Formats: sequence, C-alpha cells, structure tokens
Amino acid sequence: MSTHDDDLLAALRRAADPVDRHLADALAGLVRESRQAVPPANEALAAFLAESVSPAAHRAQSDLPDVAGSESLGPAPVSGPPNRRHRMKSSLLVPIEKVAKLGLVAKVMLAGTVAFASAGTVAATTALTDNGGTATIVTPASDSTTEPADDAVEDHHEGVAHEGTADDDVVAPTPVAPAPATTEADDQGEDEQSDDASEADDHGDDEASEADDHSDEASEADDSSHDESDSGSDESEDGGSDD
Amino acid sequence: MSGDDVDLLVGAARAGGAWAFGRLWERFSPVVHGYLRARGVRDPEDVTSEVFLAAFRRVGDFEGDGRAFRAWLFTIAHHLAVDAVRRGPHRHESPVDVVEDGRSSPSAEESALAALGGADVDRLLATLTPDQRDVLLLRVVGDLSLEETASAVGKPVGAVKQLQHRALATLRRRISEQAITPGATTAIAGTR
Repeated sequence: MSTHDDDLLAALRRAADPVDRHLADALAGLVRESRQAVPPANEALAAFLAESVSPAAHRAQSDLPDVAGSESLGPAPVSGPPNRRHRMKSSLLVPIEKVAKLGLVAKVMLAGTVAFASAGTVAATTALTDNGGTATIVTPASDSTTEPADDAVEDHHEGVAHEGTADDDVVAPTPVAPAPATTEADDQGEDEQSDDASEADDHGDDEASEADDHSDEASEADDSSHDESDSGSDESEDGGSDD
Repeated sequence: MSGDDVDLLVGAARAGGAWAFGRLWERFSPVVHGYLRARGVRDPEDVTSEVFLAAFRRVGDFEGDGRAFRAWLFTIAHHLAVDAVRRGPHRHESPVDVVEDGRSSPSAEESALAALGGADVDRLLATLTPDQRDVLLLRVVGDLSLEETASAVGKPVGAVKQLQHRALATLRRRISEQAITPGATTAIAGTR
C-alpha cells in the first residue's frame, strides 16, 4: 500500500491488512460527519455578507459590463432595476419628440391664427349693409350689429390696405336684408379683400404643407385649415354672389 | 457540486460577485468545520466563520481555481486553529478519565474494529501529535494532496510524508490494541 497517494482513504481501503481497512472506514466516517450540515455563521461573517451583497447589487445596476464579466456564472443577482431605468428613459424620450413636433405645429397654428384674426376684421367689412342709414355688421363670431356702416367701412378698408392679409376663417356675413345697391367703396373693398384673401390662402397652404411634413398633428391642422378655408371661401363666394 | 462549478464560483467571487460568497460558504464550510472540530478547536463554528471572513476579504488577491481555493481555505483554517489552540485550552487536551469497561466481551478483533465509531475516531486522533493530526486531517477531511498539505502547514513535502506515515502507524497500533483489549477502548483519549 502506498499511503503517499493523493487519495489516502482509497489507498487504505486497498490495503491487505484488515486494520488499514477499518482505519479507512473510521476516517471515512469522519469525512461523512464533517460534510453533514452547514454551521451557523457568526455575526461578523453575516454582517460582511449582508454588507457585500448590497453594494454588489448597486454595481449590477450602475455598471453592467463589470458584472457581465462573469456572465457564464449563472443568473444575475439583480434583474429588475435596470429594466425600470430603460423604461424611464424611453418614456422620457418619446414625449420630448412629440413636444418638439407639437411645438412646431403650434408655431404654425399660431401664425395662422394671428393671420386669420387680423384678416377677420377686414373680412367683416364685406358684410356691411346699409339698412336705413344704420350699418349692420355681421361678424362670424357674434353675428350682431355693432357699428355704423361708414365707420366700419373706413376702418375696414384701412385695415385691408395696411395689413395686407386676409383670413380664411372669415365667414361671409349673411345679409340681414337684401342689399339693393353696392357702393363703390364696397366694390373696391370687396375686390381688395378677395385678392388678399387669395394670397393669404396660398400663404396658409404653404405653411400648412410645411407642417404636414413634420407630423401627423400638423396634417390634422392642415386639414382643418383647409376645411375652414374652403368653407370660408365658399361662403364668401356665396355671399358675394348674393350681393 | 462539480469542480467546474467551484471554479466558476471562485472566479465570480474574485471578480467581486458577492452572491458567490454564500455558495462557497455552503460548499466548503461543513468540511472546514469538520477539520476544525476534529482538530480540537474549542469553538469550531466561530472559527469556521473567521476562516471564511478572512478568505472573502482577501479573495480579490487570490489566484487559482477551485482546487487551489480549497487548499487556501484549509491553510487559513490551519493557522486560525493554531492560534485558537494557543489562546485557549484544547478540547482534546482536557483530561479524560479512564473508564474501565468491566464487561467481558467475547468479540473478536473484527467485531471490535467494526464497532469503531465517531467518538472512538476522535479518541484515536487525540493520541497523535498535533502535527501528525494536522497532516492526517488535511489529507483526509480536507482532501488535500501531499503538496497542498505541505503548503498549508508550512513544511516540506518530505516532512509531511513522514508525519503522515507516523500518524498512520500510531493509529494502526491503537486499533490493534483495541482489538486485542477491547475493554480499554475508552481509555485511549487519556493516553496522549
């Protein structure tokens, strides 16, 4: 028997001497006894393990490549927080992109609204009717009579000449009463207004088409702009023909 | 758990994977505890924890595979066991009264050897010198090679072979004596 073998117990078991075999059995019992149960860890070791596991979890969250160095070692100790982090990132990025688009759309809409509002006061002059010396102005919003006709005509024509814009939102006023005659000023104002309105219409279409390239919201705004301008021009034409 | 698994656990612990500490503790603490207990350390549970605490704190500097880690653990355990024995009374050094078994047993040598239990093994080990016991326990319980054992106890391989040879000779002699005089089995512990 060579007791210099690395496996000492196997060497003892192979021995011819029964004393060696029983010695091997006795030592094997000692080995079995020593493998029975995990002993309780003392406070120092327990504290160390608890302390070392927490920073490891933080490292796993903040620096995944370091942990990935042992990727073949089994499941990662922490899996939740990194995913939550990516969700936060994506949820932030998408609204920012939308906000950027909406900002551009808002600028286009605001420019259009300003143009419409300024031209609205011009277009309102087309609805002047002379009803027994009292001018009746029918505005798209209020549809009420407010000012004397002469003042309204002057103001309106000045606005057309200076501002040079028209409003597709202008709804041709429904005449309160059939207008028997149209003054030259009315004709002139109507011509200027219609020319300006056509220019503004083209301008509005260009702006809206730019917005259409950027987003769906712009497309919706464009559609609504077109709808409104179409209806406005139709009604304007109708009103003009009625006049 | 295979050797490859231990290699992976050790690699993970070296890389800072604290999750591997618990697995290594579950894997090796029973054998380290068994070595310390058989070595006669007074509080083997506490010293086992100290062994792993020291190993985990220095595992970043450790180089080697699972087999080397096992040898390294037992090296630490050996040094702490020596310190623990120096600090307090050795469990096996406590005097054991010789209790004569008055029963006359007709059993032969085989039956006496077959009756050799764990407590008897402890008493047999107590008859060895500390160096002989260390070498034998590291070889058997620690499953270390001669070279690993020599490294753990800080002695040349030749000296370890000599210590192992003398330890086995002593145990054979004691076992033979038990077989011849079974009534004196319980007296072995007091004969160191």
